[in-house]
Amino acid sequence: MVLLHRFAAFLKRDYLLARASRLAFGWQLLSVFFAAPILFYMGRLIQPATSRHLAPFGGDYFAFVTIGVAVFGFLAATMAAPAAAIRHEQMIGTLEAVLITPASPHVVVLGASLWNIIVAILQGALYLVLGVLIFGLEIRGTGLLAAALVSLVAVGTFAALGMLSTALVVILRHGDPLSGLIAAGSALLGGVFYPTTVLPQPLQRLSEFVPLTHALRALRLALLQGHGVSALQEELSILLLFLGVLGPLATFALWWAIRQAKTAGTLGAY
Amino acid sequence: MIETWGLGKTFGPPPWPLGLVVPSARRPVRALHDVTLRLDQGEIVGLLGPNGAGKTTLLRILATLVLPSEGRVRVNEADIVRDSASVRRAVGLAAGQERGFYWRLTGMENLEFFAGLLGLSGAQARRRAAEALSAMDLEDHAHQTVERYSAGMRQRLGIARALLGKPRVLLLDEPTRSMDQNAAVRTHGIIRRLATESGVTVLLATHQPSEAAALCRRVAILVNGAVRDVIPTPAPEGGLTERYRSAVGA
Repeated sequence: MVLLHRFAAFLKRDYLLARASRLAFGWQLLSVFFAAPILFYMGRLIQPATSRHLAPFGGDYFAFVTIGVAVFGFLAATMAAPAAAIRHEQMIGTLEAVLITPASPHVVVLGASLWNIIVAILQGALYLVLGVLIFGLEIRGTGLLAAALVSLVAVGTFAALGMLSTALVVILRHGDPLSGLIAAGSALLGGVFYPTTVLPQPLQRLSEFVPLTHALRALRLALLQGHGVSALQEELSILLLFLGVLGPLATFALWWAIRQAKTAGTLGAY
Repeated sequence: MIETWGLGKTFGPPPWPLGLVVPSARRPVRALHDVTLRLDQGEIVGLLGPNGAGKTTLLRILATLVLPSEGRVRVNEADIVRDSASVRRAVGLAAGQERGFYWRLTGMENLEFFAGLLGLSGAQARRRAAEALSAMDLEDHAHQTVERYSAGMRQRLGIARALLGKPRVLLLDEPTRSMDQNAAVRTHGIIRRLATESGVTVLLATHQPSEAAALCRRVAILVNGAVRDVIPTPAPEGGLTERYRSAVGA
């Protein structure tokens, strides 16, 4: 209950701050209205029959890339949110005030990122809604439960990456150095804009070590082909493995970073 | 209650390989050395010292924001390193900085947020925030954004935030620095009442011998990170000032 009150406090604070900057908040959502048609018209360039690489996902490039962009958007935002939130607290001088409360540093980092994660999920959902309502994207209802489960595990995995990035921000007192790099690498190798099968063999092998590859593959199969949880077992297991390794590693890294900052007396410095 | 035994703090270069990427001083800086203090429940003790004496570092160690290099520290019976969560529950810190608030939010919204982090529900947080604002005479400005507050009002808001958790130990860093005379006198009254009526232990860092003499039962004089003298009060203000000057070599 105490944990929920703390998360509620963060959400209310960030809602109030977003309300104070309505224009920026509105633009975040509005950008989807511009991006979705771009994807649709790009999709018209690529005919289903021309690419065997799209066949496992139903053959429609618009459906393929819309899910890629929507999922990449919300997972990249989930990863960037914790470090951005903590960097912001460092810059405006509130980090020490927040960390002196009984809330644990991990709760602070997650709480401070919640709003941005929720907005990113809404943005991702908006892509799909616009795709379905305006551009004829076909989503299979039978895969929704599996998609929700995959999304949950993927969010956990990317939040762990975000926590690793936050640890670096706490230590370096600098903008987030890690999330951008991972996001760029994931966009290249994870199959956002094209199936990973179009990559050369060595890069295909490398892409198997990118969590986004498995999240996107599973979500496309669930949403476009209606695959259930049992059919997605392999991808889900790999994502759980990522989460199992990255979760404890990120938890430890953040604890260690905060300890180093407390030793150096730089917790509130920027 | 606060107890320190041989407390020391040296800010040194970070361990390898962090030293390669983290900006830091090349030579170690000794901020505190062999500080042994005991503050009983309900006692107000002053920390008097010139700039760079180590007052803020000591307060930040007691608030768990900085780890000590040597010695032991217990706050409200809890060790600050091993049981920092208990210490954070017991301590309120008013750091005396103008930063530290969300300037686009109102005073009330700021305090509600920090009360929420204590684990209070929305209604409890609102009630606690209103009480703290009222205690610091800020209720008329509760719904004004913090960017419109004067420096003195922000300092009062900082003390109000420190009071949100009904702390057993209150750490105040130059609490009246930016306040006018009336606000400073009212703040002194609040600090006194907290100590005498609620048994709150107060450690107050200040540059002003007059403020220390007016509020504190004892005053520890900190120079170059070490306690040079501990002076009991009430003492004539001149007496405290003289001993302070002699301790700092002015």
